[in-house]
Amino acid sequence: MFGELTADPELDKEWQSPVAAAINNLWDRGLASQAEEKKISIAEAHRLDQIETDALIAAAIRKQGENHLRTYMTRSRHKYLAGYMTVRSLVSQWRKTLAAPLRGDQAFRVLLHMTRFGDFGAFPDFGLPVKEFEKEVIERHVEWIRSMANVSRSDLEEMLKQDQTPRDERKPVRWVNGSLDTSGVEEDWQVVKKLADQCLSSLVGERANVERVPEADEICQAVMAAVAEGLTGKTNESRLFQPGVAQEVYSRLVILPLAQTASAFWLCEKDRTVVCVICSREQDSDSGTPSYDLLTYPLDDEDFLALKAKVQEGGPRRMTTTRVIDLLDYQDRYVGANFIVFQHEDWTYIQPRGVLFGLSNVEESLHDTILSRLSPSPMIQDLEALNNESHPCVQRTISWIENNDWTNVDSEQGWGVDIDAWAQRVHKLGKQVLSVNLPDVEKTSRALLRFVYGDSELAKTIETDGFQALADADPPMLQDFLQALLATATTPVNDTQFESMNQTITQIMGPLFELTNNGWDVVSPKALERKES
Amino acid sequence: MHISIVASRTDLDQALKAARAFNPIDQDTQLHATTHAGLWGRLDSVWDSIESALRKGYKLGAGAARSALDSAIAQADQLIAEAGSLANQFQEALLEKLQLFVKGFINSALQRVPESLTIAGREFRISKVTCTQKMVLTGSLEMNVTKVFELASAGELELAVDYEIEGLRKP
Repeated sequence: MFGELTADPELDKEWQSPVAAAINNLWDRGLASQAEEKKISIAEAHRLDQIETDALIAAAIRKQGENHLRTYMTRSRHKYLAGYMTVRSLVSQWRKTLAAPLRGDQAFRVLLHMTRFGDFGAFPDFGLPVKEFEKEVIERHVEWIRSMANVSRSDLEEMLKQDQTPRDERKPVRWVNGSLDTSGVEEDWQVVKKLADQCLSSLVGERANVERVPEADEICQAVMAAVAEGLTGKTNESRLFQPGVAQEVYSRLVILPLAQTASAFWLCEKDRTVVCVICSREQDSDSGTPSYDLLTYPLDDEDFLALKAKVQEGGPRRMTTTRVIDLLDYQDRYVGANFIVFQHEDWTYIQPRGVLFGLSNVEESLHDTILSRLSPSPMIQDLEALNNESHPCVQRTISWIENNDWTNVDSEQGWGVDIDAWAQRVHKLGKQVLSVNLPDVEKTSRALLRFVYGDSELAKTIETDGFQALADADPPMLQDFLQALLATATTPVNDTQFESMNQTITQIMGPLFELTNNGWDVVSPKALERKES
Repeated sequence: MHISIVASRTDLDQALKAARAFNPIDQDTQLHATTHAGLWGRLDSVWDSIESALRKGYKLGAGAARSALDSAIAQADQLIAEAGSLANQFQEALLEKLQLFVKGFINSALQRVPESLTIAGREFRISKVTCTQKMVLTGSLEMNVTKVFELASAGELELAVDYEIEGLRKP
């Protein structure tokens, strides 16, 4: 959200934000043909194209940013407000650390990098009992944010320097224990195995406190204790989730599928081309009718004949067409690059799109990663099926509990035990997982707002009503505040009008902005002040 | 008897609060992100301008606030024109807010109708209240905004109130 509203591509003409790159590449046009048409080099065509698209994106941000921010801060505030204000507070702190008016687009680079290339410091022990896990997950999250806020000036400067370093000289850098590690350290997949092992040690031995089910009587508690004891002797180590598998599972996630459709196609034998009709929109926002694109692309003999053979064998009459974005920005891979992937059973053709439209070459490792994303191995398909958003494993557990009587479970010793309290506790947890679970979102928001505003009335007011008090006092005041919020996201503001507006806002709600050496900015985290004092 | 209830600032504030609290959001999506965030934000800005016109009308009277009303109507019309397939949804949302305002305004003002009157030592209690002020809300956004603006600007509500005691009706 911060990137969407603040990473104006015109602020730094030398650097293209990943967001701008992704949007830019949704528009298919070939640079080679543009260069030929204008009789300029491809590099020049790329430069001109970037100026044009950056201007369009910048204009959209300026025109729509304020309206978007208003919706996020009011109608959708339960989801966005606390996180956005935390990010803004972090950026404000970094500006103080740097003693410079760090721009919004620069801050976005750092934020994005920290989120993508951090350690696993924010992850609690996955084997903790539920109550402790709930508490720990929020505490660790806030600690992680605190470590971001406390990043040193030299690390911030080094991070910002990375973007000016030529691509072929860049090294992979990552954040370890709140510091930037520039030693070229690679991803540590061993950590993933450790997390998997922790999951397997959940509810084993001493970790399985029988008090977690308050309604359980002595017999039920005895059964729970016996099960926990019985699990102690097992080897709680993951055999499946080894580092190699983790790498296979997660590396493919740098490919982001945007849309998928089944499209009718025809083979033109003479030209060795495929013609596809893609339904690009089910419903146009103005006309309400669908729209279609006709795609034609030539194939080399080998690909064409392979596809023809599939058709002659009686394969499907439609092919699966998927548009994907590459999220990796390293060596020969460019973040935001778009591709359309045509698949007919195990036949695949990948076509570069966006500014690369017209090129036919797709780098081999990228080709393999795209394939792994769209046509994963059976093992990954199983993992995805078991862990998808509808939580089939949880649903199965709920169904199992609902379809059995837990008041008289056969102990296999000739007598029955009542473990219904335990079963109902698991059932309740399952339902919690399946729900939107707003109370958890609220708990997290509360912790974040306390991090930013301290344990104050202001934090409580924002948690309960957002910035509604401003609109209640005078409707345009809320809009003035949002404009100020948006302006200071790009850079601290220095003007007297801001000062008088801030006085009114402070009187109504409390201190939301502060005057820094760089100008007016969102308040930096109160949690840091408290720690320092 | 016919009485006029002068609307207080509290009546206006409560009615505006009720209208502002109505915040439908487009949930017909499986996306994690909020869809049409820009248009919803604009809808709220348009309501701000309507609210400003109503406040100004109440405070300064219809004549002085006419330009604020015209500006609010123009903004609303522009939003509806640019909303494409969401135009109906947005128009309904604004109409709903206006209706909530009217309901809140009248309900709040009615609280100040005297429950009883004492005349010549005898207490007459309220038996019936009829709002004699005609207010027709239609499907037209412009007409509705104007009618509601006139209500707020007039700052009073005309009522017919019947009081009675032990079978005797006071005229």
